[in-house]
Amino acid sequence: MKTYTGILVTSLAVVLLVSIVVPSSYSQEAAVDSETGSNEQYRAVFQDVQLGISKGDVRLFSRHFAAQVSVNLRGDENGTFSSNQMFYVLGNFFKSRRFAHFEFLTVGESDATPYASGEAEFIQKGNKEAVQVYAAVSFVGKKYVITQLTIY
Amino acid sequence: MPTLGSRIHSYVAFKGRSFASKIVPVVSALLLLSFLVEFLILRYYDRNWDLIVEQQAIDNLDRATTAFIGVQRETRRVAAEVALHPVILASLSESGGNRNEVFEAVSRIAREQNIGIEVYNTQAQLIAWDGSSEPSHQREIQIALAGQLASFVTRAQVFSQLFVVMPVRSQGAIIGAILVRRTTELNYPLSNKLIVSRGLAEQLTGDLGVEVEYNFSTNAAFRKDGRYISAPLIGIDSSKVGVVSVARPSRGAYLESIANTFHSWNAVLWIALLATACVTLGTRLATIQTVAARSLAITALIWVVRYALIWLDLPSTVVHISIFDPTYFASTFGNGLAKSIGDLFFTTVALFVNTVLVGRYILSKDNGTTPWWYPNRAVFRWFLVPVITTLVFLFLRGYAATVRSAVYDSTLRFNDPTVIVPSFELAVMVMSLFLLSFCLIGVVVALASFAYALLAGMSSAAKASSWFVVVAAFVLTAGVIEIIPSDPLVPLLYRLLFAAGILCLAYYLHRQRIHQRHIATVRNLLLVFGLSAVFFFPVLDGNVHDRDRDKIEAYALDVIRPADSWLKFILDEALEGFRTGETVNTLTSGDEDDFDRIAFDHWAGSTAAREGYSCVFAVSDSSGYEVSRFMIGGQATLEMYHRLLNDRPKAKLIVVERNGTGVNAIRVYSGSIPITGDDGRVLGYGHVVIAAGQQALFRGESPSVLRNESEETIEAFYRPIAVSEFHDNRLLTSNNMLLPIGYEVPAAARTQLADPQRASVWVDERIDNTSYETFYIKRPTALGEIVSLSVPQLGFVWHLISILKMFVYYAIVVLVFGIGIFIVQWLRGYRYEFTFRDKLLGALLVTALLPLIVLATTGRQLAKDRMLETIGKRLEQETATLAVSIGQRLQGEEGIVQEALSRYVIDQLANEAGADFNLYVGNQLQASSRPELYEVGILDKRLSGLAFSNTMLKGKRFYLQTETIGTYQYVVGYRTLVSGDGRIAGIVAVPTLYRFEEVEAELSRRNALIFGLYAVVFIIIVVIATTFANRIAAPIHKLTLATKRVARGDANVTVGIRKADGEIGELIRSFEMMTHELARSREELVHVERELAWKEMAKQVAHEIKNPLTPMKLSMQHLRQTYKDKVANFEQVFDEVSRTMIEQIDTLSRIAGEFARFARMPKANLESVDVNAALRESVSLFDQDVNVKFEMLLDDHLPSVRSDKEELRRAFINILRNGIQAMNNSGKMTIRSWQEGGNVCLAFSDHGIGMSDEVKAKLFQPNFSTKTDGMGLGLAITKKSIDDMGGSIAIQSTVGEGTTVTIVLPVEHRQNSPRS
Repeated sequence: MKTYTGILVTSLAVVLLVSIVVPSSYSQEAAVDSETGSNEQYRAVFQDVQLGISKGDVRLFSRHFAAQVSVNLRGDENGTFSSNQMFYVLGNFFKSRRFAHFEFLTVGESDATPYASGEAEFIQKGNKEAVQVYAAVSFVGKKYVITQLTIY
Repeated sequence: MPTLGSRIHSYVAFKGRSFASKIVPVVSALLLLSFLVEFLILRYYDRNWDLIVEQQAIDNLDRATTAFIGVQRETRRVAAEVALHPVILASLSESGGNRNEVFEAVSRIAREQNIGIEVYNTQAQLIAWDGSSEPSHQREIQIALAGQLASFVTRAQVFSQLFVVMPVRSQGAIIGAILVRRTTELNYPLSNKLIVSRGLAEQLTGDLGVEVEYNFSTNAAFRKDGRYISAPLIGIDSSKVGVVSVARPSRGAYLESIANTFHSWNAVLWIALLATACVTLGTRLATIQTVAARSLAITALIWVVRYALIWLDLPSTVVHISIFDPTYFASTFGNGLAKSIGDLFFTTVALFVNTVLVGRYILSKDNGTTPWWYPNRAVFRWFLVPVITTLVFLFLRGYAATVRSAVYDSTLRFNDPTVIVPSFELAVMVMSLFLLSFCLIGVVVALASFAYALLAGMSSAAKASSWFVVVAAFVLTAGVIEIIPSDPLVPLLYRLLFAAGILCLAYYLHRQRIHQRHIATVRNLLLVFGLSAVFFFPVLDGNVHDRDRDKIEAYALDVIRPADSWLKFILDEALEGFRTGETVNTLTSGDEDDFDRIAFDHWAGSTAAREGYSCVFAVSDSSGYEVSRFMIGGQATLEMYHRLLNDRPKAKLIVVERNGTGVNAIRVYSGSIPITGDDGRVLGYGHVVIAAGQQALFRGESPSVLRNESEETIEAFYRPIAVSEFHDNRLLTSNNMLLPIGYEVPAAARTQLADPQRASVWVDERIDNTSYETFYIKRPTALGEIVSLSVPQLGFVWHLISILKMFVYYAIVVLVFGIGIFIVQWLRGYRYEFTFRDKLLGALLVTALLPLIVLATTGRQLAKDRMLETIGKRLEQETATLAVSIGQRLQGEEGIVQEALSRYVIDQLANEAGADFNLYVGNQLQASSRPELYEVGILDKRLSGLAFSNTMLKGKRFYLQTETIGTYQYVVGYRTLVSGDGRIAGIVAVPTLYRFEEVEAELSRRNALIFGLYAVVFIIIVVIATTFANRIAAPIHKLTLATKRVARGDANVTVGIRKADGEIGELIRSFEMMTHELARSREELVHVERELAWKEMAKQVAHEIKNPLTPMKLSMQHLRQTYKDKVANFEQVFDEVSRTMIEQIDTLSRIAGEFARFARMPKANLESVDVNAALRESVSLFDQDVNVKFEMLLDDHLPSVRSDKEELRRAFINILRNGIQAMNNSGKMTIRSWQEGGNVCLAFSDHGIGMSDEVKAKLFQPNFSTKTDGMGLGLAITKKSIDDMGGSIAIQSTVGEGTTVTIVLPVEHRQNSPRS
């Protein structure tokens, strides 16, 4: 009769897994909303991006990623990736580079797509490289999300 | 005999302790040593860095220099081979040779060696060639003709090339010269289908971990920057050909590279340590008796190991393969459980192993008893049922979420009809999802069975009413989930079908359990796999379709609203790029040779180049005169550029203009920037123009050939996307030629878009017999303007091909698992015997599939040939059209091709012909409708050697040639332009290079269709072959089963086939007659035997009874006589006589009892019996009382048998007692158990006196005994018991050595309870 004890144990193990799956399961966001948020909202996003890039820590701004993000990284990946993929793609990028300095110099809005750009310096294998950073956000699902990030 | 499997198991299980105790400390010590060595090395390098860095830099420089010398040596070797080629020697000799043959030989060598070759005669005239024509090397050729060897490097736009020139000698005399060219360096970070080579510097930078730079310019100098050390590069003629510079390694990077090396080595040690610990711990955990505890422990172990691997970043640290690349797939689920395809695969494998192991524990220990925790109160049981059904649908949602994540969090192309063989990444992903499906079905079916058990109780009897309640609970839960706000991710219909499938399987397995059949069979396993596939396809298909629509919506947003800020950023970045010191130096130096390169250099390194925008990059001097320009893409940029040239701004200036209207509108972003020297003087101006818009789709002007490879473009979508523009619901323009003029937005879309709150809508529409799914979206900035993006609907064939492909992938997965199971079973001693049906099926499949494979291969080649033929015909037609058009433009005037064909005319001709073209005069390019690839040196301006040979020398009017650039093969059609007097005025060429996406897609479509067709035929063949094999083999199979029954003693057998004819029918009829005759004979024999048995029994009974009767009679006579004689001690005699009488009566009673036991066996109480336990119990009766040592070699994984436990124990005791007595109560007795196929085998070996053959022959006869006491019935009873259990008993014995009694019992699921 240990039969069903085993089933119960297995079920509990799988429930633990599912309990992690269900909250993080993907739900497709709507296309770009017609309405927009406030300046403070997207400026806050850019601040997080600035901090994250400066510290080389994607966790500081990964919550702002859109469902699909277009990305261009110098010496690294180039394409459109999901927010989950972005977490690891950027994580790998930061792992091999140490950012010495970064600041957004321009923050502007155009075609309802606020953007920010600036210059950064990072050190990779002892070589210092200067790159330009471009981040664009869109208002989706009542908040601003990062739709494009270029570090090139 | 213990099998190989059991030996391995016993080795791991029993010797695990010593194994672990030896290996684990060794690996741990190695790990600690590795850490220590790493620490010491890093400290040493850190402290002595100043000394080490110089030596390291010199070593690196040496390697960089040696690498160049190696390339040079190899090129020289090839040049020497070419110079000795007989065809070339013949052509250059005085007798002369066939020039066409020289072209063919040169072309062949050049392709094989991936080089360029030129052959010159003694007058330095070019005889034959293959490869690029630029630059001209007349001076070097003269050197070679003078008998010298020389090498040099030239830097073209994109590539730097190494040249080796060599004289060709014949009989000591110089008869010509050879020039061989090899690409050594890629000057720009371009990488696409056309440019795949990696330069030397890039290769070495990757290998050495420091920057390596080759400078091949004529005035190359050592780098003055202290970070670098430089060395000259010397050619084979000892002249300097360039300079190589290598950066000194940085302390941090160098130490990091050492640490990384140790990290990889440590990772291997960690894996070894983890694997050893896992095997040891797993083996011990498997011995835990309680199923729950064992399941929990194994589950914990599996997931601890899995997370340990994630924590250690293994195996991705050691194995650098693409499946660990997050750009293919990554999910943040479970803190790294699915951070790549590889990790997802390992996670699903862990889940699979977990499910299988726990399932195995459950099934092996299932004895139908009620567990202690089973709720006694019905109310609790009823409460648990909805909890379980909710759990089932939660699992389903989790599964759907995983499949969705696999589609959305990846760049993999699932269900792409143009892909036949899946990529490695896709194959691993699909395999992972299949495993997940399997686990889902396995767990959910177990839960459904549990829900039933809660309602019906733990007895195995079927209760239909309980199943009805379970079905109702499933249906109800499936419906209730629909009204819960959270997205269930699968539709209601799917959930209901899923529930139906699960319940059917659970019921089927339950029925098998009722009929006491084994559940863990291969058939049931395949059933679960099958059901997994059935439920997997729709979820994947639905998600792929949803993702396609999402992508099209994203493309639509790009179309209606170009990313303004992004393009301004690109423009800004491009303009800022002109302010580099290099540009300033070039402009200051005034070297006009370098001026040409400035624009291309800047473009090649810009984001605009990487993104593939139509653009112009230019530099003008301080007075506005253009000094350098590079243009790629449409005319819109050029027009804007001419206006821009007049700008001489004091600061950066950016202008955005919109040209055209609607979908044809182009936004042109232009800007200029002053380039100033160190003294602030303006040296010149940088100008950039970038155009963005949908126009590229309509004119085919997208410079995608130069774009870095990316699949995220509207053109790269696997279904052709048509873009259309509507104004006031009427069609303005479209690139879908099927849309008629005046076409209107469908009513369904119109109605919905009339709602001001609604911006877009999906509509299914049918145009000219083609079904489309179309996305209509309102342009937000222009009232009444609607843009639509249409894709052809995925029709039946598409779905069929997708499913067939999945079927093939799935079959491969199942096959892999099947082989795995086969190997495991083989290790465990199970040998699969191929039946007649298996062999027949195999033969039929081989016979049918071999021709199919040949046909498929031939068919694929034919399709490819046909495709090339079609392309050839099209090129023939297009070149003919162009030849006529050009001829008309020239109006018969020869020799003025270049003057007559202005840029405007070229574009016009290309538009008329609908194809891009090149025009050659002699062997040089004179005009091209797509000049950019020629201008930057990616394509050769000189006519291909073979084309020249075939058209100019052989005089062919049309010649088709397959050419290669990078990884891309394309076809070029060449047609001669013949002047009025019959001479060849030029050659027009149409390459398919610019249409390679279209050609590739067409070829893929044809391949996919062929694959689909043959896959259908394959499935039909498998079905037919299986049906035939079953039908043909069925009578043989039934006959075999009947024969087995006869062999077991059942003569009343019929085969059960009435319609069999031919030899098989005759065989069956003969067999049935034979069995009938056998049954009759047996009845007679039984009758005779029974009579004989009665007689024997009567004789035996009489004999046995007579023995005690004699003393009884004598005693009674003695008593009577004593009484008559009035003997004084009569009382004493009476007492003695009566005691004797009682003793003899007891003897009679014992005799009667023994006979009764032999004649009347009690009714068997069949149950599942653990044979090992019964053996241990039986042995325990003796091990205290006798001086015999019992050696127990028992297989712990022995399956149970179905028998009467007491009867089995009595049999064991009987054998043990006989053995002990044979050894006179002292010695060693060995008892072994093992599994052999479907049987449990037992062996009892003693070292007693043994038996002769004569004794052995009578051992199982009743009344036979070698002992003085007993009736001689013990072994007869034992044999009868074992026979009744469906088993057998055998005795091997040698006099003086000992005896072995072997018992074979069928395992539980094969036993047919003979006495029940």
